Formats: sequence, C-alpha cells, structure tokens
Amino acid sequence: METIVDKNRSKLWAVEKLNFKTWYYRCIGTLELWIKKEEKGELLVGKRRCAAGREEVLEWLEQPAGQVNASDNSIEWDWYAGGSNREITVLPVMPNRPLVLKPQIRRHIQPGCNTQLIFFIPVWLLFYSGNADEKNKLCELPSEILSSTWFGEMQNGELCYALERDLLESRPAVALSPHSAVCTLNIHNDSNSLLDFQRMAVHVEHLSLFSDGHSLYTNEVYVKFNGMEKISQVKYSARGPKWGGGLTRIKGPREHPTKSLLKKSFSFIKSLTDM
Amino acid sequence: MEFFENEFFSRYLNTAVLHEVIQIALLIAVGFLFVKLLDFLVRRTITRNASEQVKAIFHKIVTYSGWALITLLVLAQLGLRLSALLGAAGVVGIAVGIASQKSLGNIISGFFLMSDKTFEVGDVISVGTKTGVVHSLDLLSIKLRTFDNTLIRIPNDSIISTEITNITRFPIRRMDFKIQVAYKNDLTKVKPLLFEAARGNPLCLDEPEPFFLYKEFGASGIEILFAVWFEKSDYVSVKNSVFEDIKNSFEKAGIEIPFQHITVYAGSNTRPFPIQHFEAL
Repeated sequence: METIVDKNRSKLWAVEKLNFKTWYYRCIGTLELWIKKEEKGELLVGKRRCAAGREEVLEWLEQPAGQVNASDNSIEWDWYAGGSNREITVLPVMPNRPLVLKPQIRRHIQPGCNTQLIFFIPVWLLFYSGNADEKNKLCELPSEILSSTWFGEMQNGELCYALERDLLESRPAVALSPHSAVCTLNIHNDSNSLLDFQRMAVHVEHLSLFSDGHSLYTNEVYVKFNGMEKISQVKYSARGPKWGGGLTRIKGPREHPTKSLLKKSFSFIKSLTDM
Repeated sequence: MEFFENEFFSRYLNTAVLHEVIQIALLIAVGFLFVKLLDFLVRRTITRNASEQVKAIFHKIVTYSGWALITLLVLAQLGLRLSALLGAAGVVGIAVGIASQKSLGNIISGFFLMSDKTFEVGDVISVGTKTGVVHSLDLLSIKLRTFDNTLIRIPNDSIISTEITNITRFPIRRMDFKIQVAYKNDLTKVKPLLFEAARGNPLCLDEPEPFFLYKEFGASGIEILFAVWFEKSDYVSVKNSVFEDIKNSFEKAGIEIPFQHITVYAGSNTRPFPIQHFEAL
C-alpha cells in the first residue's frame, strides 16, 4: 500500500546553509524555533511551545526581520558563540528516558503466542552548528512534551515518559507524523499464563533511528515474557523493521545495548496500586 | 681529611650510626608500604560496598594506626624504652579518656549511625526542627547545610536518640495539598478539575496517580486532600506550579475557595451591623 507523503519531509533532516543576519523559522510538533546567524559567528536560537495540531513548517523558512521580536518574553532565547560555519544540521534522537507504553486498548497475549505491535515515538531534535559532530552539538529539544511517570517499585523503579497510544498490528497506511519514529515490538509470551499487556517500559535509549527518506523507524524490539513475577528478556535488532525498504541509519542509540537484556519490562496495575 | 677525623664526626658519622639510619629508613619505607597495602585491602574487602563516608573513616583509622605503630617501632629502634613510654601513654590515656567521655560516646554513636545507613552525605534530612542537606558525616558529629545556607553541627550521640526523617531517600515523593471548596459548589466538578490540573503539569507524575480524598465537612467549606507524585528534586517547582494550576483552574470553573468571614451583628438575629460607604475625600 502506498503511503501519502508530504514532500517537505525529506528537508526536515537536511543540512541547511544559513544566510547571515537572516531569521529562519520552523515549527515541528509543538516546538516553534527561530534562528539567526550573525557575521561574527554568533547564533541566536529562540524556542517556544505551541498548541498541538498547529500547522508544521518542516523546512527552514526565511522570515522578514520585522516579524521576529527578539525581546518577546514568550520566546526563550539562547545565544551561542561560534565560528563562521553557516551550516545547521538537525537530527532526530530518541528521548532521554525510557518510555512507558500504555496501550489505549488492553492487549492480551496467550501463552506460547507471538505478536507484533507497532507504535510511534515522538523524537527529540538534536541541533548541530555545522556537521553532525559531537563537538558541534548545540542543544536537544523534544518535538512533543510527554508527561513523566514512574515505572517499577517505589524504592527502585525508574523515571520514564508516559506514552499512551493505540498500538497497530500492521504497517500504517497513512502518512506518519514526520517527527515520530515507527517502533516495532515483537512480543513472545513464554510463560504459562495470559499476558495482560497494561504497560511496558521500552528502553528507547538503546534504539537507533533509520529513515527511508520520508519516515523514521527504530530498530525492532524483541521481548520474551517469562511470567508476571519474572523479568523479561529484551533484544534489540541491529536493523530497522523488515518491511521498511531502503533504510539508512541516521542516528545511533544514546546507549549501546548489550546483546540481550534482562529487565523488568511489564508492569501490572495491581503492583502500583498495592503501595 | 682532618675535618672528617675530628671527634664529632667519628662519634656521629660512623658505620654503626649509618647502619642505624638505614635500618630506620627501611623500617619507615616498609611500614609505609604496609600501611598502603593494608588500606588497599580494607578498601577492597571490608568497605567495598560501603559509602564514601565509611570508606574515608576506615582509611583514617588504618592510616593513623599504621603510622602510630611505625613511630613506636622507630622509637624502639632508636633505643627508647617503650615500656616507660607506653606506661606514660597509659596514664595520659586514662586522663584523656575521662576528659573525653562525651567524645567517645559521639564516636561510637557515629559508627552506629553509619552502620544504620539511615542517611548519607547529600541526603535531605530533618532532625527535630532542623532540616538541611547532610554536608558531612564525621566521627563526632554530622553537619547539615540548611536551605538558607547555614551550617548546623549536631553531635552524633544526640542524633542517635532523635527521630530522623530522610526526605530524599526514595526517588519519588508525594506532595499533599489541603484544599477547601465552598458548600455551594458542585463537588462532582472538583475531582476532574484537580486531576486535569495535575495531568497538565509536566512535573507531576502520571503514575502513581494523584490521590483525592474528601476529608470532612469543615467550618468554612468541604475539606479535600489532593496529592500528586513527583521526582524528589522538583519539590519547589511542583509546589509552586501545582498551587498556581489549582487556583487558576478553580477560578476558570467558578469553584470558590472559601475563607473565614466575620459578620458583625448589632444584637439582632437577622440584621447585620449596618455599614455605610463614604466617598474618599
């Protein structure tokens, strides 16, 4: 099935050469951005949060100087002293904490069964002055603000972002959000009881990002559920989803995973309310 | 040559003295290495999983005891009678011991505190009426840095018998807000409003869920306990932002937060005391 794609998507992660003393604007997700490069090398970056659903501006749009008010208090300004490099690179990166995935429709997986579920992760935007080199890194900003949540026990759990979304069973037919990455989750219920999938921690810091030119994908995640009180085995494949053709890796993981991780991945409402 | 043959040099720079000096130097060198080795072994075994504070104390004990031993051996090597020295030290020790009973109590209490692991350096604790960040955990006392940047020294033996609250022991905390709403308001609107305010605040955790409880029919309104969970480092931000969020959402929804009214009566049961307004001059 052919996906309907916005042509400007390919420009989202392209390197842009800025003109000196010119304002540029972008709106990605709930993030509005303004940048200006001065001749002496300074870079002025302004950011503001807007309401979700606003029309996105995926490529850097030149703005007349009069339209940007650098003293606008609603815009948070950052000033960077730098070289004369006029290029700016934006790359997607996974959020800086694990995600707790809460399916809107409760999913149940019978013992011995495998299932593949797909969901979307809103990426963060990583800004570089010049090429995507660590020393050129300016800042990283979430394209969408996610609420925080706690996963695990009160004493030794971990702080995560909450992602309450519906899960898909197959590849989406409609165009995906340009700042969301498709994550494929393969779950195998290796226990003798029904897996009641209420919430699951996905360690997105171990995920890489791939692109086919218009959409983002992460490497596939394989989870072996061993039982309610047991820890699950999690594996991260080295490549993007099998059904995504012509993928190129555009960003590596924040943290490289070990080959197979044993982590408490599933949480059941009972364990949280029994505090 | 005449210079070296004089009485002084023949007396103090002879082979026997040189031999003695070399022996003492060797003793110090070997002793130093032994103390270092012992310190290393203690770090690797006894205090391997201990906190930095305990490690530092054990390091001090090993180092000071080791050097005291080396000093005694050097003195013995120099021909000093250790029995007399130890005897004198015993007398001094008794005197010092009597004078420092309190300090000894503090030291022992310090060890109990460390083994108890109720708090560590960097934790925020409340001891009695004092609250602050644990600045250091020493042999005789603990030092707290208060939030207005003053230093409080609390002796270990007094802290061991006091109730201590470790505020930052666990990664997340619950913050309680005691709210009152007027009797005339529709109570079914209040709970969703409060939950919405918490959901809209990125510092409040989704889970554990906020807690809501009608406490009692108060004197001025219905008392409600609303509690949100947050990451321990966000205490001030959560307190301020949730406070504002609740006030704003109540105002928008027309929910009244009651406050105490005083109505002055002029003796009549039904008519209030008359008040007349005047224009400002």
